[in-house]
Amino acid sequence: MSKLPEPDDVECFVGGVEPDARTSIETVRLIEEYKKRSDYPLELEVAERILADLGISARVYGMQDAKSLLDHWHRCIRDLQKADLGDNRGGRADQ
Amino acid sequence: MDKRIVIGMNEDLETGRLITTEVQPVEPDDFRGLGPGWRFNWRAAVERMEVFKLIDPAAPDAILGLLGLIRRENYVEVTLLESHPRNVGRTKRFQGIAGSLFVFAAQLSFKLGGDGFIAIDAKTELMEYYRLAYGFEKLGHSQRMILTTGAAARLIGTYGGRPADE
Repeated sequence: MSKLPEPDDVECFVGGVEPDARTSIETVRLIEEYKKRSDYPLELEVAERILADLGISARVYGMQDAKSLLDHWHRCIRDLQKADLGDNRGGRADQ
Repeated sequence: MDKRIVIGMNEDLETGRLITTEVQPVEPDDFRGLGPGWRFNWRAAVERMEVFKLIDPAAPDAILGLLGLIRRENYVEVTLLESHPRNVGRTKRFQGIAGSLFVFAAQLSFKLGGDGFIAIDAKTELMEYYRLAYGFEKLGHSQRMILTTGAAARLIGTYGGRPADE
């Protein structure tokens, strides 16, 4: 793996591909299978070493905990919905 | 929400300089200043998934790219990812936006106990690039690709991600 330049002729994005309804269940299963491989413990150990060299603990990272982030999202959606209601009530000058 | 994630370096192609970028959750105000040309409806996406923005801390109002993800049982699913329309094609200003956003998803996966696993449904023409540049592996015969633990750590190492509060 290297830091390849992004191709200029293809836009690098994700989305627009409709996932199969069973895809996430299948992905969970395949990941569990992957972790059962005999060489996976070594892969995990090497990964943790790479992260440790960067000063990152794979388990304790300087990031919002899951609960505070979810709280943030609930507030964010509430604010957007309030803003939408406000726009609808007030109408728009160009309408 | 005072903590932030320093993702690493993105190249400013105008000046040749490397800039340190950050990922933060989007705020409602961000949608007002998005501007035209985005491929996806991010305003609608925020009601279905968590949306994060990649920014240059020196110009925090300018969003370089957006990422939509869903936390799954043992991995993080990247459902939407898009560079700012100004950063697409031959006239793009910043290089490496998609990579930085994948790195954030991988870091989040480690944090959440997903061991770095992330999954995407890739466009056919991008699958080979995702494999070579980021280390994704194709799953079966579908568009599904996953980033495994080792590849996730190497990707984070390549982009030099580190915690902001160190």
